[in-house]
Amino acid sequence: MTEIKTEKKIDAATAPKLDARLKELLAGGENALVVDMEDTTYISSVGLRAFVSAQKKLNKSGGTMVLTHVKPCILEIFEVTGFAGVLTIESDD
Amino acid sequence: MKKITVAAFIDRLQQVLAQIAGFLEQEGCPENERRLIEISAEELFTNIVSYAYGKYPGISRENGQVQVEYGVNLLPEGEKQADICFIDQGKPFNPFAREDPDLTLSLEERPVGGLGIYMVKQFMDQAEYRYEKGFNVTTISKRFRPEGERKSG
Repeated sequence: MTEIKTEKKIDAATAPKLDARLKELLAGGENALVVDMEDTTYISSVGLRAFVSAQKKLNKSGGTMVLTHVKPCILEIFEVTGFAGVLTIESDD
Repeated sequence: MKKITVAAFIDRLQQVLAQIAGFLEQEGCPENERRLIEISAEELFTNIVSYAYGKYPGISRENGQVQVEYGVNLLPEGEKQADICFIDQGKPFNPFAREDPDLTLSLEERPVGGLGIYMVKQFMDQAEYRYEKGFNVTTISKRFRPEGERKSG
């Protein structure tokens, strides 16, 4: 199991780093990811795509990814974009 | 409307967003609405710098610019409306003409494109596009109830 923490803003500037980190962990054989989103209050589509891409790989390999401490404002964005149902999300609310 | 013109490169995004966010804060725009406007502005700016210039005759990738105009209108009953307008001289393209993604599809079947624009349409009260005298003009608007108003400088 590997736990990572996301930044305050997952935007065009920070999402590539998150994407690279997730890919690196998955390439290394990690199949139980925990992503602590406690600090995150902003996510744009490029950030969502990083999670979706990781989730797709894990679906194939039988691994899991849990997004934890997801703030209500971020949960709302996952819901509006239809990803709340396909990602595993633990919110703080 | 206030105005900022930048080169059409992704590394100018933070500058544009900081200007808009600072202005909205001065106007008393609450954090939640500010976040949704900022995300929408990021999606539109990213779209323009990715697709507007380069493969279109006339303006090279290097010379492409994005002009961003932003302002607030007073609405009845103390509400305000933020308007953000993106103007570019690139390939004519209506971002809102695209069909919304089908959210009932499984993750594997879902196309990756169109997500950002879908977010803009969901988050904003209005999202409009027009092509005018060689310019793409893309405008988004969102209403908010101002909180703790500060005097703007």
